[in-house]
Amino acid sequence: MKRLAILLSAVALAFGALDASAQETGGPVREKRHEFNLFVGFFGADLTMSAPYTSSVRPELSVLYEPQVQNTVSPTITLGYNFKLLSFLKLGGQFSYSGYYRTTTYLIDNKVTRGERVDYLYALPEVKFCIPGAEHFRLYAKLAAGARFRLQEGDDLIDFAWDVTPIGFEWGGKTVYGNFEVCWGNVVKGARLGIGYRF
Amino acid sequence: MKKYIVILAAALAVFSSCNKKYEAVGDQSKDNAYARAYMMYIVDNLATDILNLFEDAFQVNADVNHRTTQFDVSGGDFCTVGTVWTVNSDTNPMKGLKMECTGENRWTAVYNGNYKFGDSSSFPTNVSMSLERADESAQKGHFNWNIRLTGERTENKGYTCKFRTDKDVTYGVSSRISNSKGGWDVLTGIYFLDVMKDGKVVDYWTFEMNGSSAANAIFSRGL
Repeated sequence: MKRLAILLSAVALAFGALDASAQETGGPVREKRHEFNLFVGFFGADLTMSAPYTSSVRPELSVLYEPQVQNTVSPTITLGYNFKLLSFLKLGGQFSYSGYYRTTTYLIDNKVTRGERVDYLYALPEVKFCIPGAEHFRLYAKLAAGARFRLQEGDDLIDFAWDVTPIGFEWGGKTVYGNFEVCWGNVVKGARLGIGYRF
Repeated sequence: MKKYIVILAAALAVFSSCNKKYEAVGDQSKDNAYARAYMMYIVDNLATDILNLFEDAFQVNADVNHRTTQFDVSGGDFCTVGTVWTVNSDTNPMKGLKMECTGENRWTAVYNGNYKFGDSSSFPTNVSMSLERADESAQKGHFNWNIRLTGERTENKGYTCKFRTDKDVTYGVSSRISNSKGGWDVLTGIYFLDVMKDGKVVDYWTFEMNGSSAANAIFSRGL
């Protein structure tokens, strides 16, 4: 996953630099109205659902007979769209995907494991507050709230979800740029790294 | 614009391939290693802790002035019928074990307390053992034993196990044992264990030893 993060940021920086060099210098920059962002989020919210599991097994009957559950969480992918309403305010939405693979192990039964895939999709309308900054470096904050869809065999669920980005950074050019944002909520607990395209 | 779309598609493809590795299924080993390890704590720890205490008792029995450093003594000589010695050392995991002489070279042992299996929690465990001392091994003070044992351990989440030997189990010392605290490595007999959850038997195990160390016993399970 590290490789992917490095790849994304390298692409954003490279294209941002190309784009910036093509811009006219001097004077205020008129920001384009639409933007798409693609993020990879780390420490997906559902990581907190993982049960602890270690290779050293305590010699207790409950450990042998009760299921030992381990969740392997994938990073969260988010595709966002924003429309500039005011110079400091954008409206839009984010669509995210995260999932994990759950293994249930019964140690007494020769350590046989049963695999189960659980996927989450999120659709969250959002408000983005932009703080004016340098031409190639901007700060922002976001609030998003909407729905979460859990896709699990025999146990689908729709419930409320929210996501807050107290601080985010954009760096790069007028059209293509990179993002890094700190976030907390049902979608991602931690940080997101991404690239954006404005038109 | 086309360039960017191609890059985005490539990034998604990379992510997708990363994600597929989670489809793997875990280990399908056929050995009951964890249950076997649990059983070993009864056969090779609990039972031998008691045997070791008996051999400690024989040693201090010879020295009248030191009998009470590890035991509460009732009745004097440890090998006299009716004598009861009780382990009183706070540091001994079997504190409270009562050892009573019932005949020539015969004793009973009763333990009721919290006992740990390795790094498990301490759970209420009671054990009742009858012992017959056989001949002394090549190591002075280290004996061969015939024992019978019943016991119960009450664990968390409603689990209990009851373990027993229906016939004598022999704990013998081979020439490979090189000191008096070297344990017992020639074991013969069968241990039985019932696993209970909320008062109902959910499984049973057998552990059959055929003249080798407990590590080589045949473990089987199933109702």
